[in-house]
Amino acid sequence: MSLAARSLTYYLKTSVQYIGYSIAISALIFVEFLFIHSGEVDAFGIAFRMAVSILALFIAMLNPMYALYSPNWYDGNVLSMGGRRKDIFWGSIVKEILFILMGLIIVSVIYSIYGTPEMIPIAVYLMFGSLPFTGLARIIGHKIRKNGRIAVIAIAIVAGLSAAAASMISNSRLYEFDFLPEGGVSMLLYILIALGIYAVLQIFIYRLCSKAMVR
Amino acid sequence: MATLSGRNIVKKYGKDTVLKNVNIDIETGKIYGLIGRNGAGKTTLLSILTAQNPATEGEITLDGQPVWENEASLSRICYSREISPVTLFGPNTLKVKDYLKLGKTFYKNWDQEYADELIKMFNLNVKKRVHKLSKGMLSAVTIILALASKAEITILDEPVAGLDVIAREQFYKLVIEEYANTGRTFIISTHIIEEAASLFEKVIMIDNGEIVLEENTDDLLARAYRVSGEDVQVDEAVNGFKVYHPESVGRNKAVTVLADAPVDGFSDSVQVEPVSLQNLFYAMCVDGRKEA
Amino acid sequence: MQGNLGEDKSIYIQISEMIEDEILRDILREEEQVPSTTELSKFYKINPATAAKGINILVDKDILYKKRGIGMFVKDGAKNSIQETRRNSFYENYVKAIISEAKLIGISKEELKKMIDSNLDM
Repeated sequence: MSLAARSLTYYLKTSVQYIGYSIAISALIFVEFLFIHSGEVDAFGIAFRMAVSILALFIAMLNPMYALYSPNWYDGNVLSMGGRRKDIFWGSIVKEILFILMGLIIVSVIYSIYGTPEMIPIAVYLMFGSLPFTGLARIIGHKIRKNGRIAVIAIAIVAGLSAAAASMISNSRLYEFDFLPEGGVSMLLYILIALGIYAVLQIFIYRLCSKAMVR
Repeated sequence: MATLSGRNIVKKYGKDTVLKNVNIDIETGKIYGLIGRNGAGKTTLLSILTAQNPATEGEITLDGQPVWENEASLSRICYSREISPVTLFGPNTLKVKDYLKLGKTFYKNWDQEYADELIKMFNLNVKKRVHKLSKGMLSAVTIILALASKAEITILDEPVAGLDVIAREQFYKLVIEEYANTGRTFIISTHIIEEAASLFEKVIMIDNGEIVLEENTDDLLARAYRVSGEDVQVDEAVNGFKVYHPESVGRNKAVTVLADAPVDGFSDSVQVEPVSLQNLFYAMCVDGRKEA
Repeated sequence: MQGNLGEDKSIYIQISEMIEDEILRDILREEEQVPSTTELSKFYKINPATAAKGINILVDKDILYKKRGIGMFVKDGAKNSIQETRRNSFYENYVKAIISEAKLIGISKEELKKMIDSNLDM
């Protein structure tokens, strides 16, 4: 197996692993909501819907968070095992996209089964919307690698909070204003723009990545 | 025989120059010792030789092929880094078994059976997180990763630093056994020189960012002497030789001599003894520094 | 277990001398197999190339010989030949040192002779 394939295996494994974590956490939340809403008519339904929405949100957030940490954390592991910088670059892209696609499939399947397919587009917006943030987070991650550990912690907290806030706001707006039509041309446009921004950011990331080193 | 070469390597961190124009050739099929004081540039040099970190200037090649971003070269090398006990980053946050799994994923010749055997031998708890390990167990992890990688060129950075005397002996025997069975190249960096010296076919001495020696250990020690006796006579006897670290007590003087070739006889009026690698290293590196 | 190597001589010379000693003491007998370089290097914790160098000295001296595919063996007559070589260097290696020490501490010629004579009933 080539080095590229071996490192890709690593990135595939990590994305599956993180999907697993996300599902596990949502399962906990489901149980918690089940307790909170116990006695209500549709307790199971409420808890289930909440848990799935949180799962979607969580997956969308985990991507940029992981990207933020990567230059300091996971990338060094790959390099120290004889991986190349371009393996990190391509592996991360594959992982990030695969991660949201898996998330999207899981969430969509659950929504479909549960009979709320109208939630699926929201998940699509959420997932693809997280991609530009992911690219941005990776760039920030590289910048903090250069500028020390305190900055890492500070920016990690700020970025985490703002990412959460951004997701919350966009998520609530989706409910309130209902300005995004279900599917169709504008959704495709949204996805393309998100992917476009993500792709443009990769040009910067490639440059930063090519100077990556083990701490 | 292949060669891992570094040409004119310079490494700067900001204003600090950690490596000053280093040239090095590692021939495969040998056990190398890389010795130097803490902060001499050992880890930096190894990181650059294995393309884990970029050099400011210079070029690294394996058999004439660049190492940087080159699969053909990289897949023949394993540099098992010393894991720092700092808890925030890197492999520290992983469980031992996940760290070793990384090795299994990335090293194409990884030998899981061997890894399991070593885990048992070092009594390593693979379910623990890396940063929770004792110093000795941290060393064990880096040793297991290095040995089980089965890489043609295997590099260990301070592998014995945290090990107790029994584990150290175990490690030396493992290296000899593995070397005898496979002929793999080992580069072992250490500042515990005394007990490892006899293991090294070749020794590379690095001091203050420069390589001061790169030589067959036997040949090196065959031209190194400790000459002692009455000061006037010692001075006369070693006149014209490269002399390190003169020490005097009263009229008695002792110097370390590194001749260009083995010397047949100094004058009869002085005492001449061989020098161990550690003492030679000490003599060569202590000059020009404040003595502790 | 670890062998005791000193610092006063090159390791490969010490290895060859130790094998010679074992032959002199009949621990290794003629036509018997000598430990392999791997065994020696593990025992003494030395580089296999160094152990091989020590063995090769003895091959050059006609004390050991190689059986293809099996290993190194002690040659017939090895013990005699070691004894002879060592006899030749006995004065240089031992007697000279005794005499110089005796001079240094003022032991007379007669006293030294007497000491040796009285212990010579071997």
